[in-house]
Amino acid sequence: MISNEIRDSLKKICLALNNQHVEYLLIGGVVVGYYGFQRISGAGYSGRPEIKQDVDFWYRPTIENYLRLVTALDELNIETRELKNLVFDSKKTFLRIPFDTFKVEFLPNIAGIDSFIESYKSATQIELDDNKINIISCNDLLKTKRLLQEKLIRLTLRN
Amino acid sequence: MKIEVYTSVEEMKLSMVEDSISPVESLMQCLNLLDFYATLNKNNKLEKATNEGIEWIELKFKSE
Repeated sequence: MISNEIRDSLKKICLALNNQHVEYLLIGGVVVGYYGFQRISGAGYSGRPEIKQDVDFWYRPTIENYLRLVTALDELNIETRELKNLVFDSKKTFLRIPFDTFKVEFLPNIAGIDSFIESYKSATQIELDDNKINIISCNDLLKTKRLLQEKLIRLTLRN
Repeated sequence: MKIEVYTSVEEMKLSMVEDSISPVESLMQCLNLLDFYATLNKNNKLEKATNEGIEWIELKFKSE
């Protein structure tokens, strides 16, 4: 279950991404919830569980797709001057939009999966109030949690 | 709204500091993750389910 605020933002963002033909996948806590598991977002990082949820996207890390993403952010009235002057790096250009109660993040790569294209092919497309949203497949979502899993086990055993 | 730019996940998620986690918290998160794997595998109807993650966790506990 996501809050109405996140739901509304998700709709607007995905509409802009679709309008600009951005290749993206919705990943992270929102998708975890879609596949049936309600988790406390943020618990994997800080050790201090947070109720709030962030919205994470994996975008295809090519210069063409990055430029389409910047145009989509323009459409959302996000300040993008810095992005236009930035030298795009397919491995290092991570973007975050800090809203008041949650964050929206765009990642060029994610741990546990090498190929955006392969993951994109197996993605699931859902509709949210007539908006099409591409979400990472359940199998790929499980792969992304492997590193977190290893880290947590190391910590638990060490403690 | 101004956008923030980072060069890595670690930089973006500054709170990923291992030392800040307590033994109880790390154990709780492990159990939470096991629950996560079990739930997602159970709900993974569209694709062939894999329980590789859960088996891997069990093996690591025994071998340590």
